[in-house]
Amino acid sequence: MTFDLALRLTEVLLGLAFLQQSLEHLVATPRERPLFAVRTLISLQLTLGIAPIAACLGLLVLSLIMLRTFDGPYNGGSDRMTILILICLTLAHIAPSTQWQHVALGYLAVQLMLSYFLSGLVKIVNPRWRSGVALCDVFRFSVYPVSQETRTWGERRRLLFVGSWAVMVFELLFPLTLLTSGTLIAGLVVAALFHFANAILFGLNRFVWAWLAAYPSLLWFQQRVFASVWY
Amino acid sequence: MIRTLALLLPAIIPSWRFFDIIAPSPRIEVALLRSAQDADLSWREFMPTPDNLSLRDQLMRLIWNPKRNAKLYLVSCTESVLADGSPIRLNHLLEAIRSAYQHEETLSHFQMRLILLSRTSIGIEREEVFRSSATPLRPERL
Repeated sequence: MTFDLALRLTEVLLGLAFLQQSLEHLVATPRERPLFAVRTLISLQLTLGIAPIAACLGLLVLSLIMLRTFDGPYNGGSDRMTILILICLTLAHIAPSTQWQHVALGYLAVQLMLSYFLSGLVKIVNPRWRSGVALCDVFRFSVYPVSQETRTWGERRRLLFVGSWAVMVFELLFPLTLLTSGTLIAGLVVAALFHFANAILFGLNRFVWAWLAAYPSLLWFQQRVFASVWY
Repeated sequence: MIRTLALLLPAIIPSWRFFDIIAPSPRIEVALLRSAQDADLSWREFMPTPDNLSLRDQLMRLIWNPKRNAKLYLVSCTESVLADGSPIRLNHLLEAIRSAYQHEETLSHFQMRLILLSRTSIGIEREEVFRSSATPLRPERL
């Protein structure tokens, strides 16, 4: 994947992620609506590729206003990921040289890889995750299960033990998928399915679109770094 | 400016520690009152989890999930209130409750309490960790 294609795909996917978030806010309290009406329009502008630098800068200003309005991110990790992508995308556009533009998109790719690897690392050092108890607790009493019916999954200890290890092993091994473009695509498909499952079971829909928007950067990064190693 | 940078920094250098520990989980409960002095506190969970959701609803929520995301934001507000007493986020919690019940004409005030659920050796334990004073459901007229 070329740098320009990765940049354009990131714009489209990030624009759609912001659009999805913004439309949800348009039915929220009247106080929020003007901010998110403007954000909806600029998200469309970014998706369509109309003056992308201006769109990125506009979205960045709105993100700062949002951080102040909500006294932090509205939606935790997914907001932080979309802001990170936005900053890297903006820098990839305005950096003074090709080298620095590549550094900006490369930083996003490395952070995406770390988002899986570090999540796996902090889990596997915790005995409750290794025994499967932590995932049982997520279902039994955390706020995340989307329904009381989903909460009953907390009693399926054997299934959740296997699930815990599947998640930890996948997250820890994710950096190895960068070795070839084929393994990376397979890894990203599994990762996308993981986010999809989290959206279905825990209602974390914004994570799906936020993380998908970062995938083009990693596909470009893999070819930029590893293709030269193999060939 | 410094506050804005402090809020932005975790996005630029993220920690990516998702679900590293399963901390006690907050629930928001509300008691609706006929007057500020009403002593009849009948608590109900605010924005309770539904009993079940169809697969169609779950799939639809991939692209349209405003209530759920609003609830997750309020949960993060409770965590901030309990961690550092954030007045902005406490106000957002009270505003959300006021907005949900302001059309209840026979009621004038509400109280909010925060409950933490945690695992103990004998099961899941509930502990009340915060209770607001009686708050008007509608702006008070002078």
